Amino acid sequence: MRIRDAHIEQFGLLRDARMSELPDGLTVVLGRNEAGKSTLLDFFRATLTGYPVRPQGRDAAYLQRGRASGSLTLDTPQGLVRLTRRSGPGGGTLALCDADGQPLEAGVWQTLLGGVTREIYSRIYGFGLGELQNLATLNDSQIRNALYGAGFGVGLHSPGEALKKLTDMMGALFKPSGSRQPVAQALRNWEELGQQIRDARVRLEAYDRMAVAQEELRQACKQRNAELAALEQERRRIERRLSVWQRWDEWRVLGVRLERMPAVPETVPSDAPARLRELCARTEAAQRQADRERARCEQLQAKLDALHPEERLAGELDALRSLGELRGACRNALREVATLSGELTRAGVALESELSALGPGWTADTVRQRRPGVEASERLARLASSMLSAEKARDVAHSEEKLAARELALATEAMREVQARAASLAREPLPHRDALETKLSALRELRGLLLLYPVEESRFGEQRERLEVHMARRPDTAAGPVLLGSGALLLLAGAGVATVTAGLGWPGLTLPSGQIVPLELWQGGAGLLGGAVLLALGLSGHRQRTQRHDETAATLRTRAEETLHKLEALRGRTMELAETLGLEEPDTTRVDALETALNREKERGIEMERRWQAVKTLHEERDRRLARAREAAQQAAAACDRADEECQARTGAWRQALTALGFAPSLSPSTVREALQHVGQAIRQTENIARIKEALAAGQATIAAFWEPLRAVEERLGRAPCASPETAVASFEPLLKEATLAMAACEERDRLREQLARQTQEFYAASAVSTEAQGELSSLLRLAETDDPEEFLRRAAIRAETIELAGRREALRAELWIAGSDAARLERPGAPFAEEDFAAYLDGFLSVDRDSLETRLQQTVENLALLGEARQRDEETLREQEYALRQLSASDELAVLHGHQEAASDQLRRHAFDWARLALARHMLEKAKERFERERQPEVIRMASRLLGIMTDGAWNTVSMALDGGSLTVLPPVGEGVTPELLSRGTQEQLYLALRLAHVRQQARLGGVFLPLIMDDILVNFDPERAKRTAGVLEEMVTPSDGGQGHQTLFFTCHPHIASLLLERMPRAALFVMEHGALRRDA
Amino acid sequence: MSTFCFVHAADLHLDAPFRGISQEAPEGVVKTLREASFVALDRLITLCEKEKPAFLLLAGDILNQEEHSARAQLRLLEAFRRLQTAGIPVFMVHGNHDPLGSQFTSIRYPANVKVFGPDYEHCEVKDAGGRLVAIIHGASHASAKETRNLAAQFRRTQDDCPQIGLLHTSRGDVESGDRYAPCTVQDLVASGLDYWALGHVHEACTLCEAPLAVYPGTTQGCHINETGDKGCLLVHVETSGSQASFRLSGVTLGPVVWDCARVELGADDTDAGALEETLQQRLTQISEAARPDCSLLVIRLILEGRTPLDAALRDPNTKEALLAALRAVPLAGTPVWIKDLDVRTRPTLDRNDLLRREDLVGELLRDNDRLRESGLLEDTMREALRPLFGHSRARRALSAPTAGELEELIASAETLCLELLEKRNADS
Repeated sequence: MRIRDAHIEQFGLLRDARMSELPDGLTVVLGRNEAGKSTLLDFFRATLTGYPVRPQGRDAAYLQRGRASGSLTLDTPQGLVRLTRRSGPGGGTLALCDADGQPLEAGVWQTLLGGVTREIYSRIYGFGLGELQNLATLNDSQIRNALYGAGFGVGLHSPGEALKKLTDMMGALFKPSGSRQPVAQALRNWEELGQQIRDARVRLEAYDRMAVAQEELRQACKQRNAELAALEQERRRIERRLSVWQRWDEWRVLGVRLERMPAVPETVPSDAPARLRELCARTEAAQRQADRERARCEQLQAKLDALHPEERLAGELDALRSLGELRGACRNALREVATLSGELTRAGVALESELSALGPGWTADTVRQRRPGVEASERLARLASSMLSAEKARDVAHSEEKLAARELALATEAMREVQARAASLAREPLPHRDALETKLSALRELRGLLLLYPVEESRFGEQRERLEVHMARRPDTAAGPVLLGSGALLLLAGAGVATVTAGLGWPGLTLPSGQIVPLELWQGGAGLLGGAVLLALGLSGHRQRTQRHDETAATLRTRAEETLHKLEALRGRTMELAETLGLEEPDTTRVDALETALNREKERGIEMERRWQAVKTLHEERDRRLARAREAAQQAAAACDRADEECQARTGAWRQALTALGFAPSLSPSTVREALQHVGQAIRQTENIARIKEALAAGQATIAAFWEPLRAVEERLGRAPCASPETAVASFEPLLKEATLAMAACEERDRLREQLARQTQEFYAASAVSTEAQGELSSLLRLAETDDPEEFLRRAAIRAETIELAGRREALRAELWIAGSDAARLERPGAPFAEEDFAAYLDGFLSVDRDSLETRLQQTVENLALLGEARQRDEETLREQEYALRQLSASDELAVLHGHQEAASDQLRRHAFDWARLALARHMLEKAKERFERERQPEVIRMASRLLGIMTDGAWNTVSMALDGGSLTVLPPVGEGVTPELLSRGTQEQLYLALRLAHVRQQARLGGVFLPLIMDDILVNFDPERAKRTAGVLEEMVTPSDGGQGHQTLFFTCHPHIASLLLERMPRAALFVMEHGALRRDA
Repeated sequence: MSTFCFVHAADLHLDAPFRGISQEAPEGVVKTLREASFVALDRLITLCEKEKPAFLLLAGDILNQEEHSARAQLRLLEAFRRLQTAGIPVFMVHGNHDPLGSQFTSIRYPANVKVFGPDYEHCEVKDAGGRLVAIIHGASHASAKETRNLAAQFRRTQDDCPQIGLLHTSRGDVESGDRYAPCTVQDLVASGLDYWALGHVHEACTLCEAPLAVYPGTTQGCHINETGDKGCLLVHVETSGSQASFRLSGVTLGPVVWDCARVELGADDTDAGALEETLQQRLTQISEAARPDCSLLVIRLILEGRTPLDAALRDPNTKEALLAALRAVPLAGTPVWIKDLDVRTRPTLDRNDLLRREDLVGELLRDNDRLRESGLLEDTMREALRPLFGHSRARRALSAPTAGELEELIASAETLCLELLEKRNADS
């Protein structure tokens, strides 16, 4: 890749600076301090490899001044490309296009860079004195990385960093002595699970042991249960014996007590207290009941005495009630009678009115007789309607006939009007359209000619003028005569000198000042030769110029003639058209006027045509209208005739119907309708009157039905009867109420009487009960031979106790009998048990030692308790054993633990494999790196050694680097090697320059990466001799070698002598001078 | 001519743990796995109850002495009792994982179970009418490392009926790591028996045809290398005179199926999201294709091929996220547990192109190839792994990678080196 052109649009102090046509080899840029050389270096770096993402230092300063941008034209293996880069976020924007301006993808640029990053480029390819010197301050490993970081391969990360990363990742997973790493934790987990498994196995191995122990314990429990059963039996026997003795003792004590009980009558019932309580309660209750009954009787009697009902009035209550039902009707009848009377009067008046409306001779009878039936009325109504419809239709037909006649008149008038218009139009002349169009066309052509003619005329004038000018300008005779004259003079001078020197033998020409100008023969010959040459040139040039002049003149003349012909043709056509149009003077004004007139005529013609068309259309339309009107008038007349006939027929039928009904035939339907209405009304009024009379009669009867009986009742009661029906109605209610009260009083009295009788009966009954109860109480007390209830109770208690004791003693005797017979049976099975045996048995208890029995019982119970506890413990143990065995049987602890251990093993294996992958990668990388360094190092170092040897003229000719990561060592031809720090500054820089250049050549050879080298004043610390030798090295760099290409190199310096040195070494190098940010190529 | 059938099963490994199941497995999966061997046993007994064979042959490794599970032995006892109720005798030999003396003596099998001792013996099988049906020859492993050639002792008797050998054995004429009661095919032939009911090999296969010597395989696979359906053999026997012919029918018993699903990726696979969808669809297909009585599918997903996604797939976080996403996919068919995601992809870079490079990358690959050609690669790499795999504590828990695993690690390490060394320029 080589830079051909560079355009710095803006970068630091550089503005619109250009470098063009850079050569393949060396380009030197010479500039003073602060001319912008370092800025230019930074520009190339940024443009080639990108702006820094986070600009700092100088980079930040460049960008502070605004957006930096620039472009490079590069000669690449893919042809010429133009690279434009602008600063911006993310390293700036890149635009790449080919020679044709077609855009290229950014990936193409990456390929061209061959993986060289900004960092690599700044270190290795485009560097200044600072970078060259900075390398010296790096420690050994960094030197190696700096050298081999890109030396291991372009575009690769440092293998040292990769190795470190791998080591860190491995350490994060596993360390042999570590305990926190995942592998250690997984391993610890696995081991713990292993221990748990072993413990679980131990527990599980106890299964058999536990099963046997359980069986043994079961047998022991069985034996203990048998012992417990025997002890239990013994305990029951002793308890039974003790129990019998207790009964015997109780039986004996009861006998003593009975003897000491006081004597009471045996008639005292056993339930005496209860009976006494019951009888006392009953007696008291009976007495209370009798008292209550008596009190009720007295109350009833008092009420009865207070009542005094009116019987006679009560006897009339039924009659009054039945009258009460008629009271309401009577009241209503009184009201209706008054109303009906008024209605009767009004009906009579209405009837008279209707009859008078019908006319004299009309009476109610007459109306009934002459009233038409329903059918006749309907027929009459239909005939009336039909007649009216016919009359209406006749009227409609007549009015339509009038409308048709009117329409006919209008249509006729319209037709006359359109005919008049047509006649008026016919009188106007119609312009000829075709002739007008022809004239207009000619007029337009004439206009065009009038416009063209001046143009052609002007052109002709120009051409003629040009011709005149050309003819006036003869071929330049100045040059010819000058040459001829000079040639002639020189010729003469030459001849003169030759004559003088050769012919006359003068040594020279003496000037007026006395100075002698030496003359030689050769000078004369030269003059002769020069004069001849000038003469020849003058002559040939003059001929050529004359020929060219004539040719040009002919061309101009021809053109002018052609233009003149054209003018004449234009004139002729113009006159012809003017004559056709009748124009004397064909000018634009007249042409315009004529055109206007013709257009106006044309428009008039169009208008007239339009009007003719309109009249024609209107005529057709009105003709159609007239025909329609005539036809309509005829139809309307016929309809009128038909309507008249119909109307007459229906009127005749109407009149006949009226006559049949006895009405005047001339009556109109409305009159007949009205008469019939009056008839109907009269009949309705007659019927109404009859109805009212009937209602009046009914009302009167209702009133009488109430009033008469009421008067009778009043008389029976000895009261003054009502004077009128109205007063009867008003006084009826109080009377009825009074009678009702009387009746209620009578009923109450009767009820009280009955109640009193019942109550008296109850009183007697209650008294009897009380007496009976008292009798029973006395009887009961007598059973205890006392009258005092207290004494009775005391005696009853004694009696009860005596009975109880006796009963209890008897029961005990029975139990003792059973016990005795059981004991006798045990001792003498089958022998009878008689009374005397029983007596002996009882006597036997007198000698029983109760304490010893109780002691034996206690011991037995204690033994039982001990054995019971032991059994309980055994049962508990058995349950535990069963539980444990069940747990073991169902336990999947071991399986679970094995599962967990398998999972832990799986996890451990995964971590181990992750570590293994890293370990293998590190191992591979280490080995490859060692081999790489071992095999590749010599090549780069050898090359660097050679270059250093050249630069130092053999003072230092060997560079070495330890494989174990040691620093560089530089060796002289003879003697010990030294590390770079011990070298002089200049030699250090020469060493690092040699290493860089060796690396660059190696990369170019291996990877085909040829990037422009840019060096900024790196020779300042080189002595002249070494600088010169270094120039030779640079020459070697730029020179194509091994069939390949050289490395384009840009060298910046502020030292003219260094620039001269380089240019002297490489004359084909380009030189640019830089001043104040501007670049100028120095020829 | 008479016919009868019998069931031949082996290597039940009751209550043996499943290997390679991570701690992230859900409780339901762990429970299913833990019960799987018992479910297979239950299905075996149900098969016997349904088919009513003349007898059941169990050819060793029925239990796992490593687990020493009373639960397993009690479940086996319960199974034997069911067979006793069904009137089916059981003939059993012990194997290397359940040698004689490794069981609980307090658990006694019912009378229908005949357990062969350490010395060769034979038993007669008679039907309900007392007629001789078959003779079973057997011998158990006396210890976990039985080295005797037990098969060499088996000899046919004079009885004219099918004679069957029951033995847990490995092939002695094949170089392999395990030799448990090893025998040769010649030993089997020389015995004169009609059928050899063998146990030990977990993959169903036929050792020889005459006599017919068969491994039924395990009833339930225990790790990812035991893929596919597992079960037992239902053997139908037809006897005609002294001739007996055997017809084998495989019966699937194991409720859990292990499987490997390989997915080939290519240069067109650039979208991780699309890959995830593809894998989901694959899982759905696998789930729906499983047989109805399969309770769980344990799958290893293997991604292979050269793909631009290689670097992303090798990133532990990406791999973990993808695995978690796939494990969370709801499936309507048989439940699937993805045991792990084995990324065996390679970058799209051609290794041959890399080999030709003159830089460190090329040197690294050339180094490895040189070692491989000289046969020193494996030893060299194993040496690099010694700090961990030779660690005093770790080596008890870790077995060294197999040759195949090592090769995979080497390829993966090469890819890692490439990733660490390669970098991109600023202009990209």
